[in-house]
Amino acid sequence: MGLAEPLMDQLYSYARRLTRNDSDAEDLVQDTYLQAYKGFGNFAEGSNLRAWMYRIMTNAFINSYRKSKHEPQLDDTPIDDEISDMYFFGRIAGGSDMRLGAEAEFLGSLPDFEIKQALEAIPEHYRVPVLLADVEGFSYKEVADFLDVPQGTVMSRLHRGRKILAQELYEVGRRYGYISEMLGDQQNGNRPKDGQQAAAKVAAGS
Amino acid sequence: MADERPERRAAERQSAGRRAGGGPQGGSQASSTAGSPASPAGMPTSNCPGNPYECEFAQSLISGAIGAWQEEPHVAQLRAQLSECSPCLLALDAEIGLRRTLQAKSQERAPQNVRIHISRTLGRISLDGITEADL
Repeated sequence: MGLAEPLMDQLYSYARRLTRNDSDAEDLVQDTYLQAYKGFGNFAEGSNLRAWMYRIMTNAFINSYRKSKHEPQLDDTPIDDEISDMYFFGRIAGGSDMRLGAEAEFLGSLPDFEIKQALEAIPEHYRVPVLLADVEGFSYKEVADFLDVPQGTVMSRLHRGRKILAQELYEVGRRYGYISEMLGDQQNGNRPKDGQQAAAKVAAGS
Repeated sequence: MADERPERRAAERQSAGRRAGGGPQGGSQASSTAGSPASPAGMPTSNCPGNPYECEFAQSLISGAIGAWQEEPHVAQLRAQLSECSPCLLALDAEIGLRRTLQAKSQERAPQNVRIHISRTLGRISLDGITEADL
């Protein structure tokens, strides 16, 4: 294999977070390379091979591998709350810049599986754009192109997905003792204590 | 009003942030929403009170940066515009640092059997002018 071989670990990681199990991730990677090979004649030389491969994988997942057909219809309507930005830390830390350094340290010290579980806890509808934009580093425009939705829809899904991820990480922080109950309650007075409940609430658009 | 929707504003900010790399253009748009002018260099000297979470100018630049956080020149240009606001830089670095952490901590290695299977499968398929080594 040539140019696409070095991408295999990245694509497998993405597939693993998408499918949430090893077997489906392996199948998804194999299907992606097969589709890419068959369509390689259409790949424009000099364009972005990585983006092309991720687009193929994303579409393959959405069309064939999604296990969430029984998920309730999730919300894409615009969000209109007081924090309209796209911050993670602002949510986790309640906007206190004094906590920024501590939170960066906390995230860096967490075991990998906690981060993976937090990402996988995001409902698929919001997880895909979060993975593409915040983990894989694609721009909002690229994510919109991959998903064939308007950029505003990507922003809306990212907003909700990040909110759920922040809540998941917040709960992890509490379990590990990085975020004390007292500090959390003071800084996040309206934050639900149960991360899963909060995630479900956000996913339902309420 | 639809134009007032936050995600649309955020999209516009991101777009503005991309343009902001060019200097005053992005800065003037962002600062117009904040209600006070930016300096000629686009610095948030007057309209950022030091808390990025309460400053639309800083938010527009930070949102623009995290919208393409792996594009280092793009981030560096926006970062330069926040250089007079250390809490803003801290917030920007924290946001990007989190994404780097997410990326680093969710990495996996593709199993060897998958590599072998893909290589063998592609090797068995005959395509006009394309070989497995091309992909």
